[in-house]
Amino acid sequence: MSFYSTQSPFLRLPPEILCQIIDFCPKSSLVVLCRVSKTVGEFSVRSLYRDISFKNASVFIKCCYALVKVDLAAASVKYLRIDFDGFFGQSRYLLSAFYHLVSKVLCRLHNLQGLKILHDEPGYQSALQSCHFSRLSYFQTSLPLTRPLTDFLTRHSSTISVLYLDGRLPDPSSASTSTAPSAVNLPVLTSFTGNPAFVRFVVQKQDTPMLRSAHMTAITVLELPEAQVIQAVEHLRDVAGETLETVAVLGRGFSSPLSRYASMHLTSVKSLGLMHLTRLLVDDEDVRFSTERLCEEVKLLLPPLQQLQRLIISRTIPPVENKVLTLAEGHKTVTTFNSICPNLEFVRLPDDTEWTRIIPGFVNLWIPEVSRIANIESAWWLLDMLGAESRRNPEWKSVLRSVLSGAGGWDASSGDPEGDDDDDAGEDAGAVASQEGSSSSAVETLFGLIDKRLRVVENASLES
Amino acid sequence: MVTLVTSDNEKFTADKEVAERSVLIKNMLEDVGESDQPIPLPNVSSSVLKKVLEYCEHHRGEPLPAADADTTQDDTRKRTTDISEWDQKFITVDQEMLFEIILAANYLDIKSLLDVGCKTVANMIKGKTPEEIRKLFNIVNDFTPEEEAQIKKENEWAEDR
Repeated sequence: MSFYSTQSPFLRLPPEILCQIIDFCPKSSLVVLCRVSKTVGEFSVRSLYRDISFKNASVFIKCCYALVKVDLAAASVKYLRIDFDGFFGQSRYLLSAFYHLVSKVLCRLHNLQGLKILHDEPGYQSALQSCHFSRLSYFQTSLPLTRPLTDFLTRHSSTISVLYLDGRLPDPSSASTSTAPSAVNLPVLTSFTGNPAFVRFVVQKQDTPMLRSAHMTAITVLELPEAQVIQAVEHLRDVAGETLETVAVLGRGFSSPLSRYASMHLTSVKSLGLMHLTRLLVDDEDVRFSTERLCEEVKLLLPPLQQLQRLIISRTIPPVENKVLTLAEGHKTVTTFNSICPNLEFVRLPDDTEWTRIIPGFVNLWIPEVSRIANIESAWWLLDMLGAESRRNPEWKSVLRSVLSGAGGWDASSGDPEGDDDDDAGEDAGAVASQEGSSSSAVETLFGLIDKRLRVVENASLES
Repeated sequence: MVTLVTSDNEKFTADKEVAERSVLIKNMLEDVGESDQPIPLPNVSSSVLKKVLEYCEHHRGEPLPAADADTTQDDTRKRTTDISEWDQKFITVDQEMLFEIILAANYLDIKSLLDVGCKTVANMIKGKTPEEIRKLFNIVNDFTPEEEAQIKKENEWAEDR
């Protein structure tokens, strides 16, 4: 091999560069590269199997055969995601063979760091029973929290830092003592997502508290009795209240016990996510959760959260008639929020619009996404909002420009293409930034408009 | 201004801002402090350094990636091979030069240039058969036909959509 490889400048590249090149190749190329030569094949197998994800049972089973047979393939797997339906209506014989295969495969994945099993089939529970991944740091499953699962967590307690559990608690009446979950001590856990009822089992008091985020966003939230919700939030406060920076909750509107108790008890939070569960079908009930109504409910949650910097309000499914607040309404809402939480810097409103506060020199000056202000009407609005006072600060333009251009994640094309045009009669002014245009061109368009407007204002004042 | 000396002993001068797009040079300058001492680059030839400086000059002022931008799960899986128009034109060179630029970018620690180089090679691989790739890079097939067929079978799952 080495004799031949010296003939190839490609193979003379250092291994870490070969890795990088191969990592840039799509799966279809990797499959081909695996057969090019032994050396190239080795790099390609590592890349092909590093992060594998299955939405289809038959593809997964085919891959399993390779994982059972090829040691390098099995050792290359760092992330595995199993997420498919449609296999489970089959015969018991097939099912048991399937879980036997899964178990056999899992036991071979020595370098696994992330595992997602998005199913609650008990068969996976038994498949997990015999395995131990010494590097597992991310684990996600929809399996119910029973003894086999807590045992699995205990086996991985020294490495699991991110945990996502959205299964259910076993029914206490049917659960025997042998399957009831036990509390697990996870000393390096930094993030929990899922069913709040699990919190008291998986989040414990630590000498060095590590938990930074708790996302109580599993759909099972809605089924929990109020007492369990309160218990979960109080438990979080007691064991991790001081380190918790990010909290997210799910509910029908934001007046649920979960939202209220979270805001009351988890007051060190810097980032709060509020997710309104929209019904799939628009019914009368959804009318009750109008954008304005949701904003009112949020307002009531804010007073205890004096550290809050980011507030993200969203709906699980955008409503069919997504009423977008006008710029003035949106601005009023975010500045009201800001008057309650002085550190607030970023808000995403339930109409999917995003607002950012320009910090230096401009108190309470909030700017929406660039795409929303890059038309003539909005530029006028923006100027009015800035007010003569702000414009007297000689740097206002450069501050504004740097905020607009530097705000990562502001994507001009992500703006609602239809929603906000109703109020803006100025389309024929031709100034709407191209919808696919980058945000930088939107910023340029906007500044063009602002300059034009300023000249008009100046000329007017000269004439008078 | 910074003076750089290549492996073939040619001297190049460049603005500090331009030269410092190389993390290696930046660190060297920080270690040495203010000094007119030329910086030796024994692993880079003059023809390659000329190209590298052309790249750094064009991209001067752009934000540099964070020093310890760790390759997390998501990053490593970003199999996007988009290259900007200027970069594409810049990197349209023969294979030997392409690899030289990649090696120099790696040595000088210019991440964006290394990415452009690696993406370009990845793009050359895209859509080719094993035999075409061997020919492209002068790689000898050390698999028996049976082994090759076997590997194809093992990885078949990845061809399903």
